[in-house]
Amino acid sequence: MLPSILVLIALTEYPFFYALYISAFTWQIGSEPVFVGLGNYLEVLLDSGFWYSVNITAIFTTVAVVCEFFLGLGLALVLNRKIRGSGVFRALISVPMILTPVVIALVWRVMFNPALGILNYLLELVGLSPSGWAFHPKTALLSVALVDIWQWTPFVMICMAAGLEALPREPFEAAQLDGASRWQVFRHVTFPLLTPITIVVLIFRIMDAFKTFDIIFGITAGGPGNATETWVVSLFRNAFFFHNWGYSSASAIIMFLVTLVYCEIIVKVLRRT
Amino acid sequence: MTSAVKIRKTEDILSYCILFLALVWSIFPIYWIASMSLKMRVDIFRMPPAWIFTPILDNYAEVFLHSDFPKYFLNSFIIAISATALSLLGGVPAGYGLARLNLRRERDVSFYVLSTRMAPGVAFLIPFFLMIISAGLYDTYLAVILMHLVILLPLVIWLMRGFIEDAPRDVEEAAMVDGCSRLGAFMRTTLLMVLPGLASASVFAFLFSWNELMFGLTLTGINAKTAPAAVYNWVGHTEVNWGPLCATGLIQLVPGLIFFVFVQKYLARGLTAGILK
Repeated sequence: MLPSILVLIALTEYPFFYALYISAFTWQIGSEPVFVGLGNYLEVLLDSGFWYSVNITAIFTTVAVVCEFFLGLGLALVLNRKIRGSGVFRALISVPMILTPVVIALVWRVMFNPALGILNYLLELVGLSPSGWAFHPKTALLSVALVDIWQWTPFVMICMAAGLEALPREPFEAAQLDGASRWQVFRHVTFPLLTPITIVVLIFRIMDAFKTFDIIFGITAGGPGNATETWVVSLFRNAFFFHNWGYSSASAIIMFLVTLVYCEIIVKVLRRT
Repeated sequence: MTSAVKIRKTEDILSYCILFLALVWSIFPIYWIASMSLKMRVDIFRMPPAWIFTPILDNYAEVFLHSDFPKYFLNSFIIAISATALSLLGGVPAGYGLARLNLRRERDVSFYVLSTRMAPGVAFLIPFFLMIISAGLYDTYLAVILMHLVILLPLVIWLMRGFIEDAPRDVEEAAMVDGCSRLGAFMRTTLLMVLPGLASASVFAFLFSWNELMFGLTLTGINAKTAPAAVYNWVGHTEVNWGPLCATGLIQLVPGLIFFVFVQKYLARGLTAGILK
């Protein structure tokens, strides 16, 4: 037990402190590091590009998680009617979750192609005007969010379906006796009972959407321009394309701190429920 | 037929329609990549799509006979197997400790493991990358395996903790009363009970490593390159070689599709690091 915790600490704390150390220098590979103290943090926090990418991340996360939640909950309610074959449906609908993200990103890139992709072909077939999808700055962010929704709605679905299955029967029988309508039952009985599981599902979806890299990198690599440059993607670009190690380490440290605060809040919320 | 039955029937039909639509929507991209991988270059981008075509295996021949992909798949496989084995080696005892021993500071450890599950990989990657460069480990299996362990250890610890907590204590305690050591008692009783959990934790670990792009892309060059990172080899400066790319992609998806059958039951658990059961 102890050794593996120590290994984990070595694997995570050491890089953390190393990043803390690097973040105090401006450092380009090939030249001598120059000590700048908190300069990099100031640079990050005063950089409009940084706040732009935070904003993009917020939009991406909100759109994706809200859609995933309601679609997933809807599908879970349908599955919960337990019609014949619903187990098979549930399994097959969940498949996107375990697929290699970079591969599906590339498939979606083909399908998004404005001139030769299947999506615009289908739009024209039903008489709608074609879209630029991931290749147009205005629609790119929503397009990558769509792929996230495609991949992770099933996650909400299976969690909520499991939650629905585990609900006690008595409150429903009581509500039925009282003559409550189905919407009233859902609104005042089902949904409140699902609150704990809803919180867990949202906690994970929010953080994982926030972290999304492969999908965005595989479809647009942050483009066109910087239309889909989330915080994670912009951090990656700054480090591995432009080799701004000091700047990106400072940004990484800020990201660590945000994660820690997020986890503190989660633990408080989870204890309460 | 009473009206209640009628309503029920209509709702059943509606349910089937919704589920069927969701099914087609979820599966279509897999069908699409499979069909592209079997098409000739001219057919791939034909619009309206060539729904009926003569499948060819040229793209697979190119992947297996005229490219470095057999090597990249082997790399990915070696890395995924090693990372999985190491994460079990460390994660099972740690999970046992959290579940069964009354540890001081257990809350801190739990919080710590949870925060590693939550932190974005790119934040670890930047310092890790620089350390790997200065340690001379760039483009080795070890570099990628270590980086994957950062993600897999907390995952396995957390999952195993949950599975072990669910297994009854008394059998193990009885074995200890009968003179087994703690390790012996664990191996003979609890371990056998959590074997399905152990298997699904291994599958999650393997699939994470097998599917992972960012670390493979940055920590390797030519020798230890993983298959997901190498997919970009088909993307040239002027054009993308879609046929072989899709063939590679489909092969890449196969382990996930096979293992899916086994871990389906534990999906929610695996993806929330054991918090949802």
